[in-house]
Amino acid sequence: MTKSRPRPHVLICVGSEEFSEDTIRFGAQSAVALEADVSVLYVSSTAARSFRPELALARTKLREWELDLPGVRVLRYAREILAEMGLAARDENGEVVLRHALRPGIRGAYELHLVGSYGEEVRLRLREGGIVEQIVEELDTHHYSVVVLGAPQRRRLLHDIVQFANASVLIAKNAQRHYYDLLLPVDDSEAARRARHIAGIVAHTLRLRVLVLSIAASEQERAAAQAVAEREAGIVARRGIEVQAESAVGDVVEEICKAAGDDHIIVLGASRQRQVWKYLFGSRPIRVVQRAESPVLVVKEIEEFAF
Amino acid sequence: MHRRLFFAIVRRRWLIAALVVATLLLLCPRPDPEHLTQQGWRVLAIVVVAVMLWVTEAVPLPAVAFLIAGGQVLLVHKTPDEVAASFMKDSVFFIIGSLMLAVGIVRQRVDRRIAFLLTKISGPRTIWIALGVLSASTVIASFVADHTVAAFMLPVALTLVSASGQDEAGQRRLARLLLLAVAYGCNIGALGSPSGGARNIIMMDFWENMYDTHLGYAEWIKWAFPIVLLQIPGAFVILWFATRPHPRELPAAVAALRQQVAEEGRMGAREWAAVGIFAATLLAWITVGDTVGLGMIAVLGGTCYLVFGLVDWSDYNSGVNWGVVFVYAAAISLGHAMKETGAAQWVATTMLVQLGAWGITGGFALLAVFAIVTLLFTNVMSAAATVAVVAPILLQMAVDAGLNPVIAGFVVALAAAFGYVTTFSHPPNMIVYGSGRLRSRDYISVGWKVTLMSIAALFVMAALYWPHLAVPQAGM
Repeated sequence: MTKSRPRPHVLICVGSEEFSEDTIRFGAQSAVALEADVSVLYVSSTAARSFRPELALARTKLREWELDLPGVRVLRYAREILAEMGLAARDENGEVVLRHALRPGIRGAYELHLVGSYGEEVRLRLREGGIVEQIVEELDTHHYSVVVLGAPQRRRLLHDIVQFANASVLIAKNAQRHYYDLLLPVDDSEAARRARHIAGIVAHTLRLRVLVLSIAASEQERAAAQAVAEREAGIVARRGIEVQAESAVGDVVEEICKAAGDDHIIVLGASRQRQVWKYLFGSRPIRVVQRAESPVLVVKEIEEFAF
Repeated sequence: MHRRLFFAIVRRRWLIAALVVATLLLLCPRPDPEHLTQQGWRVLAIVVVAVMLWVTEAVPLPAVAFLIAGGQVLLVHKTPDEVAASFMKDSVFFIIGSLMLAVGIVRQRVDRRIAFLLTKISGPRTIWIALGVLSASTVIASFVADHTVAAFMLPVALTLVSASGQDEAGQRRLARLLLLAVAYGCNIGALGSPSGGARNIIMMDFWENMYDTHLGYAEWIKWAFPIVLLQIPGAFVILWFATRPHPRELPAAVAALRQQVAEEGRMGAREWAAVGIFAATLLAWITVGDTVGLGMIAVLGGTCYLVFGLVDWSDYNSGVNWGVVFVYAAAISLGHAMKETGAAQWVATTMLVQLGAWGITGGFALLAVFAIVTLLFTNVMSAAATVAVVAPILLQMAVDAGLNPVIAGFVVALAAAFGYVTTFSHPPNMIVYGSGRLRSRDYISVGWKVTLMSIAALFVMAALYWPHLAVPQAGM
């Protein structure tokens, strides 16, 4: 009797309505392609924990006036997009079908549980607190394969989420396109091998092309870099994927971003450097995430993609 | 190091930093042994750590309050009864009672009545609606706790925005206008009377207990309320031109608001009783506050709501921020410790020497320094904590420079209300920001202009109005 594979679970983190549409669509596209469960998380960042009674009073008044709680509007917006993209089931009146309405206290959040179109779980969740803390707590309390987020304006926020998230991180930068190729930067590191493994799975599942890129520090090392790129491309190509191998000379982060342009999803393995070092000085994946103009997938563990 | 462990440490970085700073300060020899006692130095260490914890919220604010209490017993060697007594004074009762009264008012759905009046008086024109929202928020917040006013004006403003029929850009402009009108109106109004904000009560306590100078409820209004009225048109002009809302009329929004409140019907006995109790409390503050105590009157007023069944104890339990009450109590206690140990005197003398080197020895220049210092603090931590930390020092500076501590105290207390630039400095800012309709840069882009206007208004009052008032002298 074969063991059924666990369904992947995608967490899409959203901010305000005006900045979240691309992230929601990109995350939903990914979830549809992976046949994944989806959760959409909005974190209502309350500036001061100690004034929660005052904020609670304000919410009581909003409820009396039948006005949406902050964050509910954003989740309602997300719900409509998910339904439009076919993730959430609709009844004969065109209304999204709920398993249960917005309820507090479900694994530390308010949750609205929808019926997925194909049996998958679709949840809309609302947390309160610091954005990084709440996202990390959400990832720690439930198993997610990947967390999708937009590019927040605060660079430090992105840095902290990429470092502390307990799941692979997909940053949906400029994610308006419907089709992307993958860009796989390679070297001899363990992180690159992890990224190669996942890029292969994703490209095979979604039928994407892969550009394998190796970067040399100088022209003298270019030939060696090209050899690495071709070797890695050969490994990826075994899955029947269309692969191209290239090399470049220069700063690693700059060359990756240049090669990616706006039509490649960059796939990187998370750095295994010491936590303190990463926190203080960043890491190459974090710098790529901050500089790139296209989506970036930072792979944490291979097991997250064991579906 | 494991990711989760490191993240737990990162989350507590400010607490760790505060502990390191505390240890360093306590181990360092005091800088001026001749003029600063060991106890004074330790009190200053407690102040520095308390400010770090208040600003960063590394621990819940009530925990900071208890650390202040414990620090005074363990480090300054005050007796536990002395410290406990400093936590529970009539001024703390005043804060508790004011918060209870505010809950009592809110439970009677007074917001709907205000909204109804607003629509009747302002009509559909945007300019009058905005002025009405600002004025209502300001005047009510002068007497009722500012966060309460923000809480019940918020849905009024949001209903107007949502029902305006505008596109997203139009709604955003209107939201900026009306929501900032609520937040800034509450901040401006909170200095109008002692019950408007805890910072006012703290300042009155300092005058009374440190400088033997008593100011009653009505006297505070006489000094401060005119500046509230002066700021309304100034704030309105800034908000109007900073947000440039259109259209000029909002008939759909006003109709939606009228529909919401029409269901309320006429005011019933409960609502009249609630208003009556509040009015009676206000009258008592003005007439017998000096003999009975403002705090006693406030808690008795709050008790009347319970006795007459207008609220349950569970309403007070959930609606009054008891944790913040401890913070205010600790702030008062810490201020007294600074005075009693000579810490405030030492800092005041040191600062006066430095300011003297820059040619600032008294008068308006020194008052301007007070306003700026207070302003800087109040935009990063609560107004009450700001007053608690800076007032003992600045009042001492005023006395040493030959200024009346009442005038200096008013400058500090009023400047502590000018927290317009950050979302987290004052509860009305947080409440309005929490609606999700404003961005933090909205506060910055409009707030700095309102700050300048408020400072100008403060100095106009100090130059033209206050000189005509009888200044309470020490011992009066």
